[in-house]
Amino acid sequence: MSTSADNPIYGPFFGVMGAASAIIFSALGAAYGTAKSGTGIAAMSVMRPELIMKSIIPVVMAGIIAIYGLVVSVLIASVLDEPKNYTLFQGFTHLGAGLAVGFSGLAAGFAIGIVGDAGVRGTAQQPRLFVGMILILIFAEVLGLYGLIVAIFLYAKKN
Amino acid sequence: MAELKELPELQVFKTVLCHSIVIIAFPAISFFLSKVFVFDGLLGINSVPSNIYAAAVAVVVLHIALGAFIYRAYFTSPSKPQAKTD
Repeated sequence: MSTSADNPIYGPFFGVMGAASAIIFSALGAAYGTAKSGTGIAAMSVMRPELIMKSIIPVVMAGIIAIYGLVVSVLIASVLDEPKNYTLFQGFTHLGAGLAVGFSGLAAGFAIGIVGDAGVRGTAQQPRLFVGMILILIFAEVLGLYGLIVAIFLYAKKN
Repeated sequence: MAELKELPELQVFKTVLCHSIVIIAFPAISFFLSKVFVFDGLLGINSVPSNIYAAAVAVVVLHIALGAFIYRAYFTSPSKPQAKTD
């Protein structure tokens, strides 16, 4: 009983792709968010170096997106197994979980990058913008959290 | 004057480094510690639910660390405004 219709040899392929895409796309979004808001911080802190501590926040939030992907990736990778212990349905749910957190993280990372860049530059001119920037960043980061929640629900599906 | 400006910079660097380490390391540590010791060891839950609970613990710890950093950044704003001398 090595392979059957429910346990085909290519079943774990989907799970592996899910684990890989979770971290790949989350890291892509986090890298974009870090780089884009990093250019804003670099341009802003030439004139206002005392604001660096406040303006690091978009970079930290972009890093958190990658941690979401890492969590789902570790979850999926911990139950990956040989085809005889791993059904095709599990592979599909794990692929879905990986894609859910991956693309949500990509979208959230893009949003954090663009908001962080503009927000950090604006905070240097008008410090009262800081509260608004934090709120917008939180709403952008919650998009990645939604992806994580859906991914964990998919991961928890029984076959 | 140069040493007077050097000290807060070191202080800011220490604060940011400390919070960065907390934000990066604590979720991973809490994930594995809570999984191995609490959910697998103490409560004896199955593999998949214990993974999920450990992930939830890690995400909660992550957001507490992030909230602490935002709090610190918001309430330790530099008191002296940049005095323009010309």
